[in-house]
Amino acid sequence: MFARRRHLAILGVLAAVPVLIALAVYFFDGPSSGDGPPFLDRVTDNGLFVGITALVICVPLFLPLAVGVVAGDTIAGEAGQGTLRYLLLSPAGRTRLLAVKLAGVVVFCAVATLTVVAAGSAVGLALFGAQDVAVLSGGTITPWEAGGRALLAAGYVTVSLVGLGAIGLFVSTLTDVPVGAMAATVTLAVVSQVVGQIPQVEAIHPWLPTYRWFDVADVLRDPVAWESFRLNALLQAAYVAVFSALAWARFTTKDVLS
Amino acid sequence: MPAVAARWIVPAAVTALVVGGGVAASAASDAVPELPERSAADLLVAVGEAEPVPFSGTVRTVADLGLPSLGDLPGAPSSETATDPMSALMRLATGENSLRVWVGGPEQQRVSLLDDFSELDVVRDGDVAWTYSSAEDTATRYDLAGFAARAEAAAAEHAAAHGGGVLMAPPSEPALPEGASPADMTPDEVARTLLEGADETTEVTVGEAQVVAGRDAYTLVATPRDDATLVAGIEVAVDAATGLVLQVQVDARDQEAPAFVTGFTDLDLTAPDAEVFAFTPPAGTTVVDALAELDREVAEAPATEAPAEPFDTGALEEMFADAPEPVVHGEGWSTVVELFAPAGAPSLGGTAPSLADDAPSADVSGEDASPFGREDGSDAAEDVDPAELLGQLTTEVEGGQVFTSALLTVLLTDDGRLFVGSVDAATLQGYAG
Repeated sequence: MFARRRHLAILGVLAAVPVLIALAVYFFDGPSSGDGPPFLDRVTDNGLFVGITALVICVPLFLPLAVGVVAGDTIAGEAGQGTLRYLLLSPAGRTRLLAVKLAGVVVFCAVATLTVVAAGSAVGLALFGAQDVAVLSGGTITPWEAGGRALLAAGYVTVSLVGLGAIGLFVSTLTDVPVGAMAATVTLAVVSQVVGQIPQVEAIHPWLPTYRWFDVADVLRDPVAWESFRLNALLQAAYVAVFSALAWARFTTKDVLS
Repeated sequence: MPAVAARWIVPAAVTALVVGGGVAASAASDAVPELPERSAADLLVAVGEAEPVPFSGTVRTVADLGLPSLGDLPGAPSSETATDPMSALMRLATGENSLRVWVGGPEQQRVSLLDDFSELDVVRDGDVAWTYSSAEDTATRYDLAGFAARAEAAAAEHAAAHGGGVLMAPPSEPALPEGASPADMTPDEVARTLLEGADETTEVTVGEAQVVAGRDAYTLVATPRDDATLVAGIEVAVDAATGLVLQVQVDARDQEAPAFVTGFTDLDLTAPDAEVFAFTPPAGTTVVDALAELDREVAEAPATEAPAEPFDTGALEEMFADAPEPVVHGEGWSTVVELFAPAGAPSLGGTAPSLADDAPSADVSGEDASPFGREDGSDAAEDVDPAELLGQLTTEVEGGQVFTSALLTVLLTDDGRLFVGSVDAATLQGYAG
């Protein structure tokens, strides 16, 4: 999967986001507290926060875009290139192919998030160094703890994206046009966020895959608010269960012609 | 091809399972636990005698008072950035909010108001309390002992000035009502007296038991016997095991959804770590000492003016000093209070009222990090245009302007009278004549 140039390019763009942020803060004055994206004012205290800031910036669009592209490509991409039927000639079976593809998507979710955090932490440490830094509750954590929190944030966002990955996998089994599957997946992510902003449909908000995406900040409270981590994991697990089952039903009954 | 159709049963079953699981989880909180029957008086006693226990938990408040959310008002601070305790409190009156609460004892408490990417913390440990706003990166220190000493000194000064030099005795125990002996003051007796006193106006019953934060709870229901009031009822969930109040819900007459609910979503009855209450402002944070700030404001205030008092009660008193006594109409739940508009408050005939200058209670400015009276109030005007704000909040009726919410109605008549009550606008207009 990482052999695809497209996917490497996506990771490159993701890595560029924190670099841009760090350079902007480094060469221009840092923002006053409260302005700009969340945590930006903490960047100069501790470079590790570059990664977290970039992560928060990437959550609404860049990361879903990346996951949508990869997940939408899983089955439809093979079909579009005409390689799907050869894959199915091997005795591995469709269920197993699907499982491998899903595992690949999950791995990509983790790699994409870690790319942002790692690139951000690296450039942040190089430019700003690491001091003790304040978390949201006013407590102070050491640079080591800050590193731990950054990884925790990456873990949280990875979990957040897995549900979308499963949706993308299902959409990908519906069509032979990979671009269609990618676009549909990304659109769903955006629509879900838009619906999440409409108070009139509040009742369905907790069921949206994006409902807890921004609760990632809860890992920066003191003590860490684990409850949102747990609820987010439950929500995403539900999406993975439903959409991989749908993908399985669709894929194992599909006539593969290409 | 039956095999093909059969495959789709799997996702259908998984979906049913997942959705069913989710619904069942939320239904579990709607379950009615089986609890031994207890009377309302009994429950009141349980609440009164509940031992204060250390705990930590999460509280969710939902307000549906029919008020526009603060963020929607022109010139109002964004509701997403609570920066000081006062605007944070204002925020609790609109929409949904999440709080984390830790209580270690009578002198150890901490409350965090959670926002998406920021947090407002209030921590008390012994004689020192802190507020910390992560959005503003500002910490304010309150020396509680210092404030108590100032309050005492102010009281003594007040007494010396007004009481002909006789120092007032320190406030003693509240006097017992006529004929009450200590024996009558047992919680049991108090509960019974309370219930009897309330009975005329309110029906207090024990409702269906409920589950709050995973704990079995009794429900005390207070229903006004009065149809005129906007309050439909108040429900209090009392923990069956400890007597802790777990949830309070206020229902309004004219709406289905509760007007206000505050309750635990999870509760842990173990003592929180002492660490939780220890607050040290992080490096780089602006630190304000509230007591020093107060002293500075007093020192800077012109000698002719009354010294600024905490929460500016002085200014309020001054406003109402020349006003006639408030008139009370009706009784019980539908009591209406009639106030004459304070001197200096403009009539609402058309010109903009300058509420921000006169009434600190109308201050919704999020900019001012100090909860104390500001020196001149002029900076408020930059943040909130009171006329516009008032226009947004009120509707024009015959003879004045009405502010309505789910539980409270306020009528400002054109001739400068103010009617406040938990009744509908027509009733207020009736009193206004």
